[in-house]
Amino acid sequence: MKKAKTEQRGAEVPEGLSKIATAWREAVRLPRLRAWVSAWVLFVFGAMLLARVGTPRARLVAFVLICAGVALTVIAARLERRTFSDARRIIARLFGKSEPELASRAQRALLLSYQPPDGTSEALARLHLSRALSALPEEQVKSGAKRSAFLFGAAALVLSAASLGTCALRGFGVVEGADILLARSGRAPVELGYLTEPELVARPPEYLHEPEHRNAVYGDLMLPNGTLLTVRGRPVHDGRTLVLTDGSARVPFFDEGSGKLIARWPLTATVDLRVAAIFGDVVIEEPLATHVQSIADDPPRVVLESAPREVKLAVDTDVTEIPLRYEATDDHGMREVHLVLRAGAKEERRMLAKLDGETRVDRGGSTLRVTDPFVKKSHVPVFVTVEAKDNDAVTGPKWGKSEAIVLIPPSVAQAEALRLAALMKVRDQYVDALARRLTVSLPKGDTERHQLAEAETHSSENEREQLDTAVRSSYIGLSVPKRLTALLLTHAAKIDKAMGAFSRAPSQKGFDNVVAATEKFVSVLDAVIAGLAQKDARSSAKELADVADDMATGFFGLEAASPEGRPRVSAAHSVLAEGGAALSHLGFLGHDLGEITQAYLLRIDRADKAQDNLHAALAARDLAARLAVPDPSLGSHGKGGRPGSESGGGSGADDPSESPGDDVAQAFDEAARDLNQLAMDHAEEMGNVERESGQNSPADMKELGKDLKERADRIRKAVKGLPEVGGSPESIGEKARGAREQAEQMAKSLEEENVSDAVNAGKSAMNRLDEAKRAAERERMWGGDQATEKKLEEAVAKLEPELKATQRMLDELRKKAEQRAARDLGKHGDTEQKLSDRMKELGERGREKSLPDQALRDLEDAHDAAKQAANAFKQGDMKRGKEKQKDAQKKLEDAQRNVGDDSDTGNKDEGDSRMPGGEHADIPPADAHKGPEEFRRRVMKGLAMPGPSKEKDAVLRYAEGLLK
Amino acid sequence: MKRISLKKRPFYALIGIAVFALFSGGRDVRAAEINARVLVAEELTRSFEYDAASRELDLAGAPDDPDVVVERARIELHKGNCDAAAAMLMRPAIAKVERAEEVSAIAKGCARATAATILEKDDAAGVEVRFQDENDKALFPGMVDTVVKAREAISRDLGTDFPRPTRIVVVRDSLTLSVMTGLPYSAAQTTGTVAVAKWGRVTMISPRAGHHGYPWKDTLAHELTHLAVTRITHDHAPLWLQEGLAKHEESRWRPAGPFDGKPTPEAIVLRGIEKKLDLPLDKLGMSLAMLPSPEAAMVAYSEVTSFVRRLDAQGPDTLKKLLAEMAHTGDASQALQKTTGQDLAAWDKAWRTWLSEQPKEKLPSYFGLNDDHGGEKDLAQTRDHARLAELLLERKHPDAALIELAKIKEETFAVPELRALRARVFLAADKKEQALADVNDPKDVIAGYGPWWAVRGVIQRAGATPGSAPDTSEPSFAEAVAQDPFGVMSACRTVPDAPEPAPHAPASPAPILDPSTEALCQAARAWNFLP
Repeated sequence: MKKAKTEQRGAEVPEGLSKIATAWREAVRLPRLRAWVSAWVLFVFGAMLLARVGTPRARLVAFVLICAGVALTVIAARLERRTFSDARRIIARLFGKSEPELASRAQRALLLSYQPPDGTSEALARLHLSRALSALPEEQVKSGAKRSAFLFGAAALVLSAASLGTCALRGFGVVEGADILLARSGRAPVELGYLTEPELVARPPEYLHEPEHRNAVYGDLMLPNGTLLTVRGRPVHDGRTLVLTDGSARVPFFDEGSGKLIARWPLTATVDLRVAAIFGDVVIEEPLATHVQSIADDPPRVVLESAPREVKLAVDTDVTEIPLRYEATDDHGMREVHLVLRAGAKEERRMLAKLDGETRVDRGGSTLRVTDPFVKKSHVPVFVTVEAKDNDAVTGPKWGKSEAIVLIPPSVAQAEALRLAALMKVRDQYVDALARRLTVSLPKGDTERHQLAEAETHSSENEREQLDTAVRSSYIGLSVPKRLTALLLTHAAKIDKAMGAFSRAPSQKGFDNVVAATEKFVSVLDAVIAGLAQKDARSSAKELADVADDMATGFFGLEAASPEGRPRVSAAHSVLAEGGAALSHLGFLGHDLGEITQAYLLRIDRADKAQDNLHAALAARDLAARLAVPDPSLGSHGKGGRPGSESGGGSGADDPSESPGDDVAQAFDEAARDLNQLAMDHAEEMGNVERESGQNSPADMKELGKDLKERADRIRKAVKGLPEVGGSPESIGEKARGAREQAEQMAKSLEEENVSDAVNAGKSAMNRLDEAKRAAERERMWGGDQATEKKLEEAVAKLEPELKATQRMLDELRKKAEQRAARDLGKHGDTEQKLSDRMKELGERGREKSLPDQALRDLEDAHDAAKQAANAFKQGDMKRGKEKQKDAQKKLEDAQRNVGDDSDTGNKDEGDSRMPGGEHADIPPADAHKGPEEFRRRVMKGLAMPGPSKEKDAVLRYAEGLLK
Repeated sequence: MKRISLKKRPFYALIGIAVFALFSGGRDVRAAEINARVLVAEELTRSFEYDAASRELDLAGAPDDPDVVVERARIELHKGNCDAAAAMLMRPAIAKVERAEEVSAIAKGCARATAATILEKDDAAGVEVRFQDENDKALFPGMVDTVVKAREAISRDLGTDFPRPTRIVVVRDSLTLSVMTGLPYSAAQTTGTVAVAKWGRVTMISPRAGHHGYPWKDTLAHELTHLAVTRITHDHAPLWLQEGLAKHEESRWRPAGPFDGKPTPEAIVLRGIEKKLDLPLDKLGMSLAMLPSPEAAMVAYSEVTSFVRRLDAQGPDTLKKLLAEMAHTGDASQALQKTTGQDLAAWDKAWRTWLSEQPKEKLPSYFGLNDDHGGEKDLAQTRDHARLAELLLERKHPDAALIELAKIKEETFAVPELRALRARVFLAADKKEQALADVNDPKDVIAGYGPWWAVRGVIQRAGATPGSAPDTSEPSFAEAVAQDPFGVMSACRTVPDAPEPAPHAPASPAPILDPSTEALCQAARAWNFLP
């Protein structure tokens, strides 16, 4: 309590002392304030310059320094106030150093006045204090105050000078520093100017072929996307890193050399462009911006006639092809037009037109057959669109697409089921007829017999009509295979024959023949149905296997939360459900596999319902695995008998599709296969004769070698002026390019000593040149390019004589070759004789195996012609021999057609087949084997031969696509 | 060599480990212990002692050891948890282990084939059946009944017990059978294999897979015998014993049928010997399902059937004693020696001598072992006429169909398919007496055939009159269902396409079916008349 009182007293400043302190403070205050303020200004300038570095650390340090300065000022002021409110501190401050003894005495006296010792009166204590204070030298304090004031004033002067110097030298830097210190998100709040005399030049993208132009800066501009903007200007302040920015991207200015800075900005989107200075991580932008609106290159606009619409192939059975007429337009130009077919996850693109990038409007057409492999193999809706690609080189080519024509294909196996049902209906008719003929008793009277014959003939005609209708109808693009048709018609003809005989002489024997022929026909038709059903079931199951696999992929996609999963699963589900139902109508195997499909779908549905995607996928894959191996569920490879089993009790499974009439069908098929082989062998022999009669001798070619090379060089020079790159198919440029290509092919063939090919290529080149010339004449009326026309005329003038000379050379070579080949004609005569014998033998065998009559007649004719060819060869008459050989070959091919083409089974997609020749043949890819490459070359060359030009380009494009 | 009892194997395994540790100076003792326990666990699993196998693997104390994981997967596979087994084996480290190869392939195939399938259980009977095609679940009551009876018969004859539940998987086709069991697909196709007992379960093909089914109940009993023999002998029984016993037991669960042992196995073996299709008993290969042809398989089955019959004829408990001895010795020849006093070679010789003394029996060409190529033309004509008759019947021309059938030689009608067809044609032509004559006596046909039994049942039922002529059709329908459960006539006990009755004929009463038969009938209708 006592101590508190003492401290309270200590705060009181005696009057005398107070006067000295006040005098000191008044003398010092102003100079000191000036010095303090000057120091502050300099300190802040330093901090700003530090902040201008722009890095986060520099900005932080500057901020901390300023905060520390403020704190220091506040602390100093507080300390000052505290000192001059306490008598003891005042004494210590003012006299502590100059008069330590007096100061000490005064402080003791001050202490005694607060706490007088026992026995000492307060008055005495105060008197003692008064004397001690008065002993303090007041004048000395005043002189000290003056000295301090002077020092403060001097410091203020120096600091002010330093501040002014800084301001003069780095004043804008200090402003920038302050701006940067206050920056938020890397952007300074106050915009500052950095560039004077600005100018802006815009250069549109090359493909637009537009000139560059100057534009006003700091305004609103509209420019094509891809324009290159060039901004120039003189920098206001040196030493700044300036950039052109849209707020996110930055393009630096660089020194142009003339004291100006330059920056180039490729326009890819609408932007507000500003000049900005970069300080570390902070930018200070200019206050004015240039608003540049980017005009995008629109994607091509494609209109497909009659789209959008749906075509249900199972319902619209009359529709065999979809005409596709389109018009594609673009604001700048197009490069390609494609026909695009999409089904589920599959896509196929076909080139409709290859353009030069300048064409702004392209019109064209194509047709899509409903039997197109893509459509046939697809069991989900096929979206048909025409899509055009523009020539945008800046953002990349863009595709514009038309509305879609949606082809809704029939379900898997639906067409096959319809075909089978039609044949079964015919079988029913014949079975009914057989029942009638088996149970009827032949009347005894002639009149009644004739009446019966008439009735049966009439019935037979009806049945025959139904058969004809069934075998000639199309079932959603599917027909009865020609070979089976031939087989059935041959056996039906036997009923007609027997019926005819019975009508003429209605005897019991004649009627028995009718019954036997009907029985045979029913057996054969039954075998055909069984075989076709099994084959169709197999191929349909394999198609469904792909769909099931796709479904499994869809479920895996669902498991991975892919957005494509559910549509994929749904599409596959509907295909499998419908396909499974249709499949079950395809004989025993189809019934088996169809039931499996439906049963497995129950598994899949159950898992799907439980959102168990993994098990649904596994079940779908199980179905896919099963359908991919479309064997009977329980089959034995063993022949006949009762196969054993692991259980020992199993009777195994007979193959119910193995119908009795199979023997007949197989025999027929065997004969047809022999016919095919014979036709192939004969064609090969023809080729041998042709090749040997046209084979040039090495000596002849050696003689011509130099001449060929020189001619090749001349041909190349003749077409040198023609363009290497064409345009749209009908353009002069494209035709001229084609001519050049063919002429170069001619030159190449000559170098390869293939004179025949060279002549063909030369003819094609001339043909194209003619077309180009005609097109150029048409263009001339509209002010076409005369230089091109001149080049074409020059090329024609040089190429024509070369072609004629080459043709003469070829004729000469052929003549020599024929003379040489004539020596070996005897050998060819023998071979042709053997082939002729084979034709005769096959004809005899074919009669037993029920080959069609027309085919048998063709075989006879072929045999005669081949025999004559053999004789002609033996007599050394090559010309006649070759003619007769051609006749024989033609007749063999006619016979093949009448038996039914081996490759044709009327089916859309061939799997393995019970009928021979049904094996799938893979077309080798371009790089797989030299043979296919040679084939491609021959096809392309063949297509280049002279011919009607109207469809040539389309045919060529088709062939190019086919042979890729 | 005397085999060690399964129960004592852990003890001996530990002794083996200790000896190994002693001589290896303690090196690799841990690996040896794991290996020993894994081998014991595998053997226990093959004997369906899953809990004991699991305990053994626990004792190995190496849950991540690849061999241990494979054995755990094997146990799961045996228990029917294919997903779990497949998941266990998916680790790359496991896939590299040689012993994992087969288990992994089966686990994956099983997981795929049984994904989202239904499982029917009868806890009281201790039967679990998984159906790949859920339309087959109508077979479940018949399967349970067969399993219960067959287990009882097999336990009685062979002296074993069956762990519960008895697991069966009914698959839809040979392909899945192959995937689920490891039997090569080509082998399954070649021999027409319909069922395999492996991996602790019976995997059998649905009867709907065959054109007119197959004897699925006998097949089930046959496979259950395999499971029993595997259990007793710890999967060490030779093939001849396995298959011989299975053939012996496949029909003992039910009353004897008219076609049991018809033709006699001896007749088939003798014909097989003539055709050089026979094989020595100890050279039958890995499985009869893998023989090169169905004919070879048939001869092999007949060989083992005949041989086991001869053994069984030695005394009432010969087979039981033989198996009990096998459990101890693990060697069939030694077991034979101990049980009968003669080893396998001596028995083989004696059996072949006995075989050669048997009267020669003519084997119908129906069984595919005859060389009567001269009859091929006749066969083709028979097929033609039969097919035409079938087509005529379908078009409701029974009289014309009879004319076609009349063109077939009478002796050919011993073939049950033809006789069943003719009976149906007679029935359609309203010639019930002739129809009944065709199916009345099983002796008239050379083999059992589902539709033949079904027609017989329908005709017998039609001839029944309340009060005077009792309905004797039930055994015929039972036989029909045992072979062709999804035939409409078998399952529904009626002709599916019966002609309209004559105006004055009494309407035949609609069959009243019990619930399980009704379910089977519905399944049969659904199968025969798919949408």
